[in-house]
Amino acid sequence: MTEQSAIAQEKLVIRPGAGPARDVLVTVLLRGGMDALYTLPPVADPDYARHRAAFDASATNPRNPLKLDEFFSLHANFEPLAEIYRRGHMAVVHACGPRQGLLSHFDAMRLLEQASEAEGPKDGWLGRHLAMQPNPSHSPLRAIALGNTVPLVLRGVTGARALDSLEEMRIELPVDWKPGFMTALARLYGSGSNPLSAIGRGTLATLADLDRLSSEVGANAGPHWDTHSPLGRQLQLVAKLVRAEVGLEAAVLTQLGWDSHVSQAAQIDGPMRALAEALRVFVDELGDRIDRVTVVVISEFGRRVAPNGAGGTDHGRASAALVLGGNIQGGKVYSRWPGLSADALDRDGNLPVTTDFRDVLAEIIERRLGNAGIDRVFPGYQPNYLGFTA
Amino acid sequence: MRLSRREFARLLALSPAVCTAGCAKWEWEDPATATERLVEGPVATPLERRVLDRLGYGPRPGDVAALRAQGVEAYIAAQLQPESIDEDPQLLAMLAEFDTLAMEPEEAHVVEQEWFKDGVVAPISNVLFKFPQLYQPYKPHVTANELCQATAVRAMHSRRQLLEVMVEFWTDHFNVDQSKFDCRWLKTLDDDLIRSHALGKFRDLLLATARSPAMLIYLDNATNRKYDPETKTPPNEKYARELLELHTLGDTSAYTLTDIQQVARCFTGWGVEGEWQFRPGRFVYRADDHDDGEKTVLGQHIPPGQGQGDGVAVIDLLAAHPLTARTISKKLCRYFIGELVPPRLVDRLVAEYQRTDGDVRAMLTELFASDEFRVGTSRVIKRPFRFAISALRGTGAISSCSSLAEHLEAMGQRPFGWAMPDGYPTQPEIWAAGLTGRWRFAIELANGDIDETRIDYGQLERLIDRTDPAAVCQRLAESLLGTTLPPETLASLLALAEPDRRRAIPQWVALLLMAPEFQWCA
Repeated sequence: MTEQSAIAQEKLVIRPGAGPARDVLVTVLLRGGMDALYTLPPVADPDYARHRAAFDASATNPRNPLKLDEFFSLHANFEPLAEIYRRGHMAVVHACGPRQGLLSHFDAMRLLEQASEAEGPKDGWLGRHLAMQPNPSHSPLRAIALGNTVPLVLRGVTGARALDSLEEMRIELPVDWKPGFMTALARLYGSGSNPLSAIGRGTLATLADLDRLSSEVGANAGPHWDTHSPLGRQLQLVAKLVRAEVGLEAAVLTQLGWDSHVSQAAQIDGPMRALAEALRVFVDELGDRIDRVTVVVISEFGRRVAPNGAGGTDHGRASAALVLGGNIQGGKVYSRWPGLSADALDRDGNLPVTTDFRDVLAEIIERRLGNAGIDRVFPGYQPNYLGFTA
Repeated sequence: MRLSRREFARLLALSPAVCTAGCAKWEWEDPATATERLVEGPVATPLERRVLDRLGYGPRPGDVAALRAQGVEAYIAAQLQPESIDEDPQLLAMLAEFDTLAMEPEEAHVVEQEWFKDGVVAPISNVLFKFPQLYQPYKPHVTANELCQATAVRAMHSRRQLLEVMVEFWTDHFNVDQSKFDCRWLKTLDDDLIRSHALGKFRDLLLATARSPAMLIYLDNATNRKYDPETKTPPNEKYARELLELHTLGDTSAYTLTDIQQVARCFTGWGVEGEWQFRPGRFVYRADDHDDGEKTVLGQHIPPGQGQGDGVAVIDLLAAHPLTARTISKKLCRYFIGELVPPRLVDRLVAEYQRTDGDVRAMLTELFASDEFRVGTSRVIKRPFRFAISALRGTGAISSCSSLAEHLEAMGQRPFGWAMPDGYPTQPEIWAAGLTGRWRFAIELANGDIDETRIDYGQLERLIDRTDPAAVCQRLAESLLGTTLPPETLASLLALAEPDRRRAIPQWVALLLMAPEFQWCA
């Protein structure tokens, strides 16, 4: 059934019950272009030190305890991720990104979110995936973007919404209004042929779920949340929603701050630590539920191999993706590493993309989200799976 | 400049009698009389209601009676000639309070800088990256805020309702994201350009947007220069791409990548004064950056040496193209009639476009006269902006609209806040998920919790003391929804009137604004 006809028809509300049978997908978009040579350095590459040693001495320390394998390492700021990686719940896909050449942030991010060719669909890959799935609950929390706007990646599906806090999903009545108010509201949505009626009823049911949630989970999920970081606060909210089983299927989060043209260390150390800490606590908080969650962290491009004169790096090409989850074959770096020699780099001195980001997304969507119609999510693209899904 | 909280409080405290003498900016109407008119006067016919909902932002108390007196045909004809309608002088007085609306970009830039020095706002995103404690959603600046507020105030109070609706239409068609670099102050000028051509010839509007500094920055044409052999940088194709796909032809199979590249060459050198971003600017044509060689666009030869004439030739070519006529015709239908676009009406609008050289007024005349518009059953959802404005208008609220942009952001439609070049979408399914935000807004509005906004319930309260509550409730429903409530629903609303009838009124108003029917245009 198409989205259009789904909304045009009156449908009975079926409660979400035990939650979706497929994984909840949490997508973290790192806006600005993450320098994966800095965050996930290929320390054993013979050309790495030549390019980056002066710029990035700490990561090349031979006693660096944050080895991913014999070749790649974790930057010290990513230390909170080390334990997740060792437990096998995180995979790294290096030299990954969109295959197109040098782009502006705007165009590159559009590519990352649309994941289609120029003449392809104009909505987002996550929206296309969700539009293909049944949606019996009409939960208004089925697909959420943390923040104020619904990003392109979620376009194409009914019911994706922006959500900055649970407060937005709470209807608080003035103290002298009567409890019968909500009964009257339910009555207004309870009958009639209005196409919004079913959605209104789904919303009312979710509001009731969230009331239950706030009493069950409490305002603070745990003592160690880094609530100073917006990402940490938002992932906290996602964890709450996963635990509450309110019909959440997809959450999109955005972290700014990766566009490190100047004084890179000063600029991205904060975002790096915030990301790693937020993910670690998210995984801890989910506990066993991590088996029903997949997290993918992607960025629109990487950075130039050679630092610029301002202690920063300019827009490059390949970056890296992180995939976390209970059913991820983690503890491993998946990479067709191109190398950093002059021959390996493109003519502008950039690390080429050897893994199209759609390979990562398609594997997750088919194997963890149970969508067999990958050719409709990524039209005209034949993905090659890396095999990181269990 | 927005009113201070203190000034506004003073104005609210004034009784209507005093107000007529003292406070020109706020004496729109006696609001108490306005809410009384919610339950007086004629009930709108379906056509009257549709005209008020779709050619404007919904009826205010008393608007149905005024429309009935004027007649639907005369009303539509007048709306199509906004220059023939004397604007409400009090609206003009209020708009005059927004200093930045009339500022040149240079001045607006200075205002922005002063605000920055005062620590009110951060100047550029890079500063945020360095100071993580400032990581917050982007806060637009004074110029941007004033434009948002002015847009809401115009929609709420302008007598030229159709003009405001068409400005919104073109604002989506020629989308500029106010939060991109300089657009936060250049969008104000861009809005002026759109307003002055909104009911004119499409070609003039297209050319005005092509030279609008905000558009030049938003779609990167400000950095579109002829091929640079040293850096091997080709012309920037972004504007060309969106010009063909979104602004005019629509059909991506009608042109090739080569056409895009040729169009990009034609617009090389069309830029903005100032050397780089974060500078104030006006349109400038830089001959040194222009590729003056010959080009071929959509099969039409453009000879060398035409300078700025290349871009103008492309605008003329595209504006005269049948596919452009179709793009605009379909979009007007989607906007005024709904997602199920009637193909025959589209054909008639295309013919009208071609007959009149793209005269928007002529196309709208044809559209509003059509059966498809008058008796069609296709639905138009109220996007959050229209929902909020129609709620304010429908309840006879008075408001400075100072916080409306924040409420609209929470509902997903901050004015001028759409990042992608295609403008805020119109499809109902995209907006259907946002009921909670609308419900919250309705409750806050009805309960007087929105800043510098209130509904005066005095007359309604006195009325319900001496009238059957069911009759008052049904008349409110007719006013706000255009229909009465079925018995069971009515009973659930009437239960709120026991034992205190007066307390039921804001709850009824909230519920009616929250109802599914209020989320759609009639």
